[in-house]
Amino acid sequence: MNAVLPVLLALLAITDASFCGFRVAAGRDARIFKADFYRHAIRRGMGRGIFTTALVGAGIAGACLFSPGLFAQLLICAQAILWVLLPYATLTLVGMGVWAAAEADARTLASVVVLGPFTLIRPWVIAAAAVVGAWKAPGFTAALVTVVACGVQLALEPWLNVGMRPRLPGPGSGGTVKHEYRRVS
Amino acid sequence: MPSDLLEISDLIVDYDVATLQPRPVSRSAVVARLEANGQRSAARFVRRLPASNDTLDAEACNLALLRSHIELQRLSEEFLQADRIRCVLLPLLQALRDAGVKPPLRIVDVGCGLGYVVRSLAAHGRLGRDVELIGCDMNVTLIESARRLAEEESLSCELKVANAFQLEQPGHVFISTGVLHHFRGNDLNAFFAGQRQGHAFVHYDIQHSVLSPWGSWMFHQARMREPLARHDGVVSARRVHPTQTLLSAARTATGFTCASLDGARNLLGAALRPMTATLGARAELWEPLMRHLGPLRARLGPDR
Repeated sequence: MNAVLPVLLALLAITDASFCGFRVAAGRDARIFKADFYRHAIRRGMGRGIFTTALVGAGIAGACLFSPGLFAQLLICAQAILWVLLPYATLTLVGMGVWAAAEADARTLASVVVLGPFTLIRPWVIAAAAVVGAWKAPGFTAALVTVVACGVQLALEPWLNVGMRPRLPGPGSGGTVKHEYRRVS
Repeated sequence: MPSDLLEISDLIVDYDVATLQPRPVSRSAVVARLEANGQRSAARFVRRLPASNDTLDAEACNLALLRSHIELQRLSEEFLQADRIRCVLLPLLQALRDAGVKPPLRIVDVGCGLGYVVRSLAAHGRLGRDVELIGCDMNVTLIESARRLAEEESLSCELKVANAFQLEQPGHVFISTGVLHHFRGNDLNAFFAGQRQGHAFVHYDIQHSVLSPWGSWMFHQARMREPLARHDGVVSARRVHPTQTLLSAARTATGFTCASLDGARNLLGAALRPMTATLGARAELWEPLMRHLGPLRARLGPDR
């Protein structure tokens, strides 16, 4: 149990970061074939997710060295956080699965019922997890660590957004655009 | 709120219908119109757009439109819009072939914007070698970008700055996505009247439902970043015509046999199919079309 909770939270954080990477790229490239573009975006999100998760993990490990009882307290917080995050993550993954595998109407339903609304409430879900985790924390330090860790996860998407611009179609070989019209008499 | 809201994208660019040349747009006039209509946030957005001597900077406006259309394409991709149109076009083209219509069969996308549907059909459509895909829009910036995108991916389609109903080679099938609600009153009749020259049409627009504005708001908040796209996306959902209005205008103006496709009969229907189509074809094509429609036939509205 001691190792499972932090690992589960780290996996959730990295998965969420990968989705963030996709989201900040989506709607920025109007090509039809752009799987590579999205793959790169997801990898970018995942990379930053691994970085921030490692950073937060290292910080917690360091804090636990100086405060021996902290890790046990953080496990209580982690358990509380997971009560909020796990249902959200499970439903999101089910929605993703349906969207990826089912036929058009079911995919649309997955978007309308799960993927769209869940994107919108994501910051609130993370904030709620932070509040619940901090509320259940046995000590102030554990509560603070919980809030900071959730804050880092919230900051990830804005960080990924920095420097992202729409890929505007550059001047190609097409020359001028053909104007075709007949005068309306 | 007023019943007939205005879309920013309809106001900040203007064209001469005859020559398709852009016309200068007065920023204060647009702001005044939006304020008079009670749309203060839209007015604030337009007030921030660059202008010289009160004339809106056409380049800046077109760039805002371009960015909005790139974002809009993401929604079309998520809701599989090109695939839905393809499912209707396949039987329609077969009906045209059966009726002996001479190839090439020209599909014209009216108000194609960045030409997503046309480019996607060119990429994945498998509509047949006898089919030509043409996208028309009056916005030069959007069409230039669409052409570059098509060239970049070597897609076989034409994109033209043109009035879709005045092409040298008229279209056989007219299609559009999210265009119908831009036309009100007589303009809607004129839009359909322009298609008498063709053999059929399939026009998709947002479902007319109490859910649509809420759904549109949610998706534009979740998926869009451009303020223009967020504003116009929600307004579009509030401006959509009821199915009966569209069918009545289509029948009166074209004389075609018409029906709605994927019209929602309840809230679940609106959630399953956020977009609905107005489908029309010449009377002699209707029976062959019904034969080829297959399972899609069950999704036609009762008013045929």
